[in-house]
Amino acid sequence: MVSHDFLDANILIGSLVEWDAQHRHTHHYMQQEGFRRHTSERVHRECIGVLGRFRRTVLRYLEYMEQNLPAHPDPLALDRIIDRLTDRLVESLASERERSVLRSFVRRNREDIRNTVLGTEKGRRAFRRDVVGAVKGALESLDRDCRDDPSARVLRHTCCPDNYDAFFPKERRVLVYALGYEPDTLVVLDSYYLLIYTIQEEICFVTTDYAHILRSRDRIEEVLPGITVREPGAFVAGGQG
Amino acid sequence: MSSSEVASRFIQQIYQVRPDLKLPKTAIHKILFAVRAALPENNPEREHLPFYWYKFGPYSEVVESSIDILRRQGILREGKTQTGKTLLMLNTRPAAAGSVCEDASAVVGRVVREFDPYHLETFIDRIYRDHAPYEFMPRYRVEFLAPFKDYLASHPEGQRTLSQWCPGEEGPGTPDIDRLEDALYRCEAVLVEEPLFERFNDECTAYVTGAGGAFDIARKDEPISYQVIKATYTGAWELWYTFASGIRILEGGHDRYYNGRLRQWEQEYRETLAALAPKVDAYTRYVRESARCLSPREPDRRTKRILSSLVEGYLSG
Repeated sequence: MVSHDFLDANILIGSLVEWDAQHRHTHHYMQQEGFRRHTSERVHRECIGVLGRFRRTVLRYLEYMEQNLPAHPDPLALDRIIDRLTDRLVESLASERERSVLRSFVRRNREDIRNTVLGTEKGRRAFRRDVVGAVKGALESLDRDCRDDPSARVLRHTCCPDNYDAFFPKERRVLVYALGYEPDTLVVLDSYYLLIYTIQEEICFVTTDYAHILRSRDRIEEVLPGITVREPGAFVAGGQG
Repeated sequence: MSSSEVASRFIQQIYQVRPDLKLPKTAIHKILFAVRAALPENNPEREHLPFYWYKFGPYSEVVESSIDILRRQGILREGKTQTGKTLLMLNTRPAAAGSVCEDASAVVGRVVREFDPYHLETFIDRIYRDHAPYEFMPRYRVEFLAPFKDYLASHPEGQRTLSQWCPGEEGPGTPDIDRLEDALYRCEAVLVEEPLFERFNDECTAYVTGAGGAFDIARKDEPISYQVIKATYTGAWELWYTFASGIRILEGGHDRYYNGRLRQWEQEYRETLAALAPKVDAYTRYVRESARCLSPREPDRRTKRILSSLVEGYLSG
């Protein structure tokens, strides 16, 4: 019998790239067979929003660098200048996640950033296009994998309601309090909605989100019978979960 | 003297400099905005020309009502062009047209003499470039929306290019689409980072994601290209109108004169924004559905590295 898994945005976003380090479990989990993977339209929309925000954050950063770098930066001091400007922009970002995204981008693409800074407008445009292309590629891959089609790698359900006031008001109230974050509560309730009204079998909610979901695992499983919460490592031989 | 009286004098001054002018209302607004911008900071007449930024650039309710007054007094009259456009022209010279102060009069004279009624758009573009309070505005209005209009006009429905017959990924090259798309990303890079615009910015980013897909479809010259690009153009204006209804609320978007209107404007903005969200959602779905016909792109090392750096940052944040 296949088991039914519900994937949140962290898993879908994490599965877009091949990992060799701390997030390898997501990739390995997605390679494994024997699972029927599901998600909701809400999660899919969230993923598209996240990818768009990646692009926006980086484009803003590149624009900021262009506006604030000296006309002829000293190549020997370039790294220091880049770091200083990066710090300044990162400090101005309200979202911790956005800060983390930008820092990671700068760390891993430093050589390209350096060349872009010293190069011509043509080079800057080419780099911008590559950033845009990377996000476009991820969006295509997401749309290819995650469709409202039973043959898709991840079946995207479009039937979940916008909110759960009419379906699970009590569960919603308890979970909003336990998770402390309404968007994640709605996603967890999407999986429960599918369990009750569509799949009618137990569902495993797979996520790497510790801040709201894994931390509240016991409470979620208690309030939503039939839902178990696991991280992808739980499915990988030797993994914890 | 009331603002309305001062504005009326400024308007009459325009026609005193060039009595033959036939102007659309919007040109009078823009000319007087340019006049105000050119007046020295300490000129007392500046505050009688209060403006806010709106859908088609700087707009003044005081100027608007002064135009109506002058029309009712018979000083200005309306005439229609062959295309049905309404123009305002001098009807009779007022018995004693009060004039503005000497400094202002010189500025009006200079602005009006330099003004070319046949190139109103160019005049407005310059106002956006020189005076818009946020960089997003000239980039979106002048560098994206205006060329987009031209693009659509030069690619009518049913017109196909050689792209469909070209083997390989990129076809024969699509510089006009590349430029448009680049212009849109340059707008996304300078969104207005104010709390009031947080949700708008998310809608804008969703639209940009959709438009990126739409431009890819247009590059491949798929049969559905025209419809997709048309929807993208419509969406671009809806986005702009929503932006314009919000920008006037910010401090840089209006003169103090309008402070009493801010609450009402904010309510209107929030309603417009709420109506925008489902439209953007429907548009992006439509583009995604239409883009299914495209073959997937092959990522190279650099794009792979860029993506993995972003995802890694996201998951560890």
